[in-house]
Amino acid sequence: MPVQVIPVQTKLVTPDDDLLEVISEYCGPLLQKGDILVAAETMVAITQGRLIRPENVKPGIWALLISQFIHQDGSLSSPFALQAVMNEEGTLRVVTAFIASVFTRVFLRRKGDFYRLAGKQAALVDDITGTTPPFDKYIVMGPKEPEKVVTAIKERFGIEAAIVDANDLGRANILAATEGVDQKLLLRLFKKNPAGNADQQTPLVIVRRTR
Amino acid sequence: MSFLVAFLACAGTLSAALALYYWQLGNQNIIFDTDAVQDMVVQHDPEKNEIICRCLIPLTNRGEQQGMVNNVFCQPVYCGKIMKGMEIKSHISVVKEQARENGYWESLIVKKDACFLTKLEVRIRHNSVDISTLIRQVPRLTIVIYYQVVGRKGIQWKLAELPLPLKEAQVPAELNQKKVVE
Repeated sequence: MPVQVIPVQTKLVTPDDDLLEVISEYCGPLLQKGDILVAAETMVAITQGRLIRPENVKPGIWALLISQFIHQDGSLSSPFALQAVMNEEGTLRVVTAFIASVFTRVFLRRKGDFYRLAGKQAALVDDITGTTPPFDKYIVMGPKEPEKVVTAIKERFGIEAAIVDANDLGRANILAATEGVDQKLLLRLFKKNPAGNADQQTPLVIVRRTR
Repeated sequence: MSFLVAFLACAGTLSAALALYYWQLGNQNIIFDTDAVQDMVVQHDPEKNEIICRCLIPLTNRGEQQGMVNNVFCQPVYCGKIMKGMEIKSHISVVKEQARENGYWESLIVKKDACFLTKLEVRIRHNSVDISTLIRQVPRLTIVIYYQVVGRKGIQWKLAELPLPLKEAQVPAELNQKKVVE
């Protein structure tokens, strides 16, 4: 069945905004029964105020050390972002994940274990420069309790909902989705990142099956 | 006892190796290279009683690691009592195809050996004296650029100074044309 993907442009969403009100204002008139509303992970995090100035983070010795082993293109190569993750996930967990990932990388030649073991925030955090202005000056953590957010969207608007982390590198990750969401379909659609990764300001996407 | 000694020796060796690794990685060295300023243009606009200075300043990373230029501010250095009546607007931005002309500095990753061109524009007006009087008293105006670099080893605030020669006016093309029309 063909699918229509409708990116919805919004105003600049800030921590002062209520996510459900933003959805109501910009998607309310467009939503139809059977639609799936997909919210960008970063926007959900911003409405939850999950923003940290690097100046307000004091990296410890573990963050300073471990960040040096992470590829420079990754958010966690910054000791500030890594310390922010440690503050949420626990230093012990992140250090243990690092040591374990060194072993699996060397002996099993397996990549990505650090992100799998260090907790959700390790994979979701965006370092400065990683988000559209004015949040390019902040470390943006992943959203809290995404399952509750999608449930609240479904209850209010009567449609299926999902929170997706997608980028222009062809990677997409569903953080949470209501029961009726076809996750395989969403992953296929969001590998192309229809919401864009720059300053398109389209953090909401409506996925609609057409006949 | 021998186990304890062996354990301490291993821990010590590992710590030393990590410290050596950390040290040899180096750090970013991102600078506004004011010694390599290009295309300095100083325009006098007598109609608006305004001096406009524009130049290109390379922003380079000569360090071993990447860094992020997170905030940039520029402001003039005090140049005497005449400054009381002066209005100085300075604005620095990265030169790129779709540049925003709104004064907002977007955080910028500067990788090792990378170089970006930045454009500095300074507009100077005085509410009571004309340009010739102004440049007699202030032949050079120094602009300081404060910038914050978030690197892999911490946050640094750096400073660059750039003296702008207000005297060396170049008549801009559009003003030249106006004169011809008149």
